Amino acid sequence: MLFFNGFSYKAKLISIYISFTVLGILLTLVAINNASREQRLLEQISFTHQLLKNTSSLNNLLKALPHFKVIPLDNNTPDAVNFDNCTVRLADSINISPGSQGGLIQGDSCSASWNLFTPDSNQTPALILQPFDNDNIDTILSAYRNRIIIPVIFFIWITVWGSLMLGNLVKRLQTQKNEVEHIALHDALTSLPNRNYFSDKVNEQINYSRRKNKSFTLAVIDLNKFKQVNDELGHQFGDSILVEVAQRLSETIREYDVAARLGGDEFVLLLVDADCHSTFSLLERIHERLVEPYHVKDRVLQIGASIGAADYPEHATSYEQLFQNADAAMYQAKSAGGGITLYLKR
Amino acid sequence: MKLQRNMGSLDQGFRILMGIALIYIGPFSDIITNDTLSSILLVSVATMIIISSLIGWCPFYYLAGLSSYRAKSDNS
Repeated sequence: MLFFNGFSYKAKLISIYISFTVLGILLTLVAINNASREQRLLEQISFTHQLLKNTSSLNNLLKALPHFKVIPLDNNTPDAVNFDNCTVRLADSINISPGSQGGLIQGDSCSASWNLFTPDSNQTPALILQPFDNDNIDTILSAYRNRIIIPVIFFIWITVWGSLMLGNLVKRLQTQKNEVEHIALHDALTSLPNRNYFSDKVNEQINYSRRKNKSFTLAVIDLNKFKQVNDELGHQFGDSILVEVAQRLSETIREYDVAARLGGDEFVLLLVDADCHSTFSLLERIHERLVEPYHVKDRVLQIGASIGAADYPEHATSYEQLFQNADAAMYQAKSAGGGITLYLKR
Repeated sequence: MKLQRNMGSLDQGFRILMGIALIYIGPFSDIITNDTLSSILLVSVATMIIISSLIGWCPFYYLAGLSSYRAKSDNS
């Protein structure tokens, strides 16, 4: 199995598939070759049997068919016979049971078929040997053509369909996997990334920033008086506002930043490759966008937002500490009535 | 399970002709083969495609996520 280690999963599957296909075709060819050989032997034995049945005198038959060899079955029957330039051993090969018409004798470098001649008169029973040709390539090819062409087409047909079915199955499983992954890592209401996705992203960013000696900003956003909206107008209004907030955040952040919803009216931002002083203008734009009026079901609502931000590595070097600091800054902003607060290291 | 039609009329007609041809070259003709196994395979496939064309639903299309029915509707 060490040989396989360098190959990809797909290459392994394809090589196993090709091996089994080649093995299957070889086994089929061998089976058909054996079957065709057996068929020809049976035809030869049967043909000779018919000739012998209609013959009363062996001498007449032998004149017509000189390649036959006749061995009388009496006390002087030899164990081995030189036949057609090779030696066949009769004692080992022939088991004459009642009713048997004939069979095959395998010699050193040749093979022969045998038939039993049992005359009605006082003549001695005899064994009739004749060469059995197993190297007739035309006969074998003809048998292949006759027997293998349809099974091979069927095999290819079923393989193509099997591949299409497997391909479809894999595609459906992949789609389901993507859906499950999306559900596991995204918020159902706003479709923004959830807490798990966000913490993974921040940890990845910490590793990246540590290697490249860069900084980034983590910001926590909380909507002001959102609970009041929920209580007075109902959760449907609240949900509509949350969806609108998510949309405004996605539109305002840069392509490589991440906005996530942690739950309730709490959102977080990962603003990469900059500290919070340089991203302050971006945070201001986000704040301005969030405090714009919301049009929900013929009502116009105005809500505020509090944003707290902390820097990696200036304010903390772990996700938990960074989040805690940004959260503390956000509460400072909230207690001041909204706006943006940057974390100050004491 | 409700069988949702997945075969167009052209496909159905082609399958019927194909099925009849396969049955003919299987047990009723020696054009290609007179082998028993080959004849059984040809008749099995022919039966399957004729039945599928009569009900307008192909299990292979279903499992492979294919359909010739919709393609025809789109064209028309």
